[in-house]
Amino acid sequence: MSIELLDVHKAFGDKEILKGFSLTVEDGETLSVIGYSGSGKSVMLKHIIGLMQADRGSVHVDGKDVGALGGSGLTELRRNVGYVFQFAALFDSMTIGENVAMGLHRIPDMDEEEIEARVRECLSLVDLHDVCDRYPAEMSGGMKKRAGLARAIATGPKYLLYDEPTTGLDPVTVKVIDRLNIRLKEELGVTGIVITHDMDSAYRISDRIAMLYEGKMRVVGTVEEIRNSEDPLVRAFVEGRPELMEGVS
Amino acid sequence: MTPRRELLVGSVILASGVVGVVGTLWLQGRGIGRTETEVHVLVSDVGQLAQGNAVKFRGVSIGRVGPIEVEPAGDAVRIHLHLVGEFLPAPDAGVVLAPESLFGDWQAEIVIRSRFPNFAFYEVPPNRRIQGGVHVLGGFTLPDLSRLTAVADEVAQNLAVLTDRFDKAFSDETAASLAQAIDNMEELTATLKTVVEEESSQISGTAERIRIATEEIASTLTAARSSIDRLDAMLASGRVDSILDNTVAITANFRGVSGDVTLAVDRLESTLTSADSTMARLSRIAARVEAGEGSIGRLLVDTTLALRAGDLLEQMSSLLDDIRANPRKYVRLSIF
Amino acid sequence: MTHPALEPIQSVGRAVLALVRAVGQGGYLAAGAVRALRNTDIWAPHILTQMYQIGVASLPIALFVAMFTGIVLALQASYTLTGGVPAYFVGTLVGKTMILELGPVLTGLALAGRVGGSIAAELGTMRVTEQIDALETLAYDPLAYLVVPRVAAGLLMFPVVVALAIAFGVVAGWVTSMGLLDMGSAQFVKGLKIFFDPFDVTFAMIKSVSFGLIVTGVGSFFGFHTVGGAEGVGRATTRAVVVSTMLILVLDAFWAAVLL
Repeated sequence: MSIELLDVHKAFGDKEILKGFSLTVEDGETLSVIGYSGSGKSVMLKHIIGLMQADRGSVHVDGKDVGALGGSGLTELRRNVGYVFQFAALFDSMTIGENVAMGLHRIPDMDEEEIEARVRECLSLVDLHDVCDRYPAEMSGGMKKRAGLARAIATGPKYLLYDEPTTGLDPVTVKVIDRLNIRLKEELGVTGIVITHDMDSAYRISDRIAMLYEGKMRVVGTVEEIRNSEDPLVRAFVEGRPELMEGVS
Repeated sequence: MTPRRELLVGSVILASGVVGVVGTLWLQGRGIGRTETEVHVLVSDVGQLAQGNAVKFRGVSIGRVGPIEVEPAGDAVRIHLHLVGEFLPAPDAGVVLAPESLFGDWQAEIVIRSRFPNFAFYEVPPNRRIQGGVHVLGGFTLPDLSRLTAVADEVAQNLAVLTDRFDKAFSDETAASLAQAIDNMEELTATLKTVVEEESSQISGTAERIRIATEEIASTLTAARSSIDRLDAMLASGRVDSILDNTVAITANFRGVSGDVTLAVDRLESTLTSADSTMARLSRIAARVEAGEGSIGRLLVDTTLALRAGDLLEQMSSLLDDIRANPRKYVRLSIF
Repeated sequence: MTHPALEPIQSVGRAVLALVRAVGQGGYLAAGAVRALRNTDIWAPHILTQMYQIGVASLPIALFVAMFTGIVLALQASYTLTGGVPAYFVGTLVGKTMILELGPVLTGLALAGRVGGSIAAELGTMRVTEQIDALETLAYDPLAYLVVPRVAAGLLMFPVVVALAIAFGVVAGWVTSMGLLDMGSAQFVKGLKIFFDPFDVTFAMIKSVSFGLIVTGVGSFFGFHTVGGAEGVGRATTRAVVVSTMLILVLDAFWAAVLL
């Protein structure tokens, strides 16, 4: 099965963010979405997990229309989709351990011991040890981000949505997260959508790369295709050369 | 942490529950676990009585007024009284509903009805005096200030009319005829006195003459009394000084006469007793007139005078009596 | 753009639309919260914490306010009621005013700041740091997880806090009357009892339940709809306190008109 966005429109007040965005993500692949800040990447991601509803168009996950899902359908969907927030979004009234365990409490027939074991497992996957009883406020940004990742993978989702997982992290942590990403895909067959500005990271982890520009899909292709793209907009972005954009519409 | 919070939350909730329930019961005047007697009162109108007001017996607070409801037939109101402890009402018990103080709080007082003959207690039919073991008493509600002022207004107006009439009736001519009547009486009593003195040794022989004289005295007294009654009411006009001087003088004579004659003649005695009281009244009036009193305001103060001012004045006097006895009952000031 | 002369009319229209939208959003939130009642497994475990936060932790401020209100009421009553008014009226005034009006309303206002403000700030922070979104992605209904326990705790604990505040305030007035006003205890109690109507207590409890709903509901509403970072959180908190304060007073008048 797969994730499929078809002609998605979304506006906030007068401001149109998505203007007919379409994208298909195949099972088992990792797709990176690049684009300028404010181009609607996070908004697109939130449609997939049902945090936002499309004004027009449709979003299908595993063949089910996300916009039409009710309470139990959404619960089911969210068990299968993990979301890694840009700033981790850890619950600051809870310890890291409780944060990671949150999703697990929603799974029936899981006792406290199993939950605790799973929490430790997920935290060690992201290289966090002995942090179970610490509060988010006592941790660095990179640690929080990893804890957020641990929370997202705890329920064993089929899909993982990453909202800038490596932004603002030191190069070593970036590598750790990239490696984890690849491991999740290869060992568990997790499908990933990664929003990123870090082209090196995107090249390392992606099967395909899509570029979102002014609310629409500008281009989607394999890493090679993007690297060799003739589109000045794409080249301006991936090479970090704004002068290439001049005169492009 | 959690058990401590559970404890705290639980104890705060329990504390407020206890405070709420006990406080309400206490403020309502109910006790917990005390024996309570319920007595019902039927009355045509409850005035300002409300649930929670005090129930008194001989001035002691013995309970609280409970629910008040109109009887199904709509002809009376049933008041539940919750009394502390055992209470058995006397056979002649009634309930007077009246203000407890100047400030609008009413009370229900359990009384012996014969003590208040003027109060029209609700008559509970004998077959309903005990219903389901609960005694049902008849009640009487004292009029509150608004009614009282309405009555007083009416009284004042009628008094004005009355005094106006007296003004017209008591011309110089009537005054003269009153003086004449009194003169006659003086003459008569003087004669009678002489006779009595002369014939004291053979008093039985003169019985017939005394009888005749007595009749004459009686009729003169009747005339005098009706004049006095009019005089009584006319006091306000203050035109009776001369007449009263006369009457004061003959009062003294009459007293002397009665002192001699009552020993011998029964009929005379009773006549003179009546004369005595008439004269007592006269002398009181005289004293008052001498003191320069006589306005309607003074009239209102003196119940004795007011009582004699006819039906209307009688009605007022019973009110005034009660006002004088319980002045605070009649003034209702509601702040809340 | 419109003609400058039409600007006032336009602003009226804008204000009305904003109000309608706010009412709509509020209704939507309320309906969602009612629907979320089904998810007992989500909200029930948090009721206790919220009852503690909203009820027990608010007691000190509520009792503090009530104590000084009781003292001031007693002093002012004795100052005002001179001449022919008997001294026991101090008791009546303190009792009636505490039970009917000042107990519920001042507690409501104090808690609008303490409880409503903190709910708005907490939920607002969770909103702008995407914690509410995170809850949703973890298959928690945020209304069930965040709003239901707070509103339920408000409904349950406001009457509790108000009842204790009233009792505390009356006792403070009582002690003041005896200590500072040379009144006998019996006099104060007589005044307290003489006009007491059990309905007054019912009235106070109805009011405090509704204030609990307003304070927690409005706090949740503004917190839930926070936009724009730390500044947005500040704005939401201020609005929550201002709006719940106003609604408490409006509701106070409403209940007085409807029930008295």
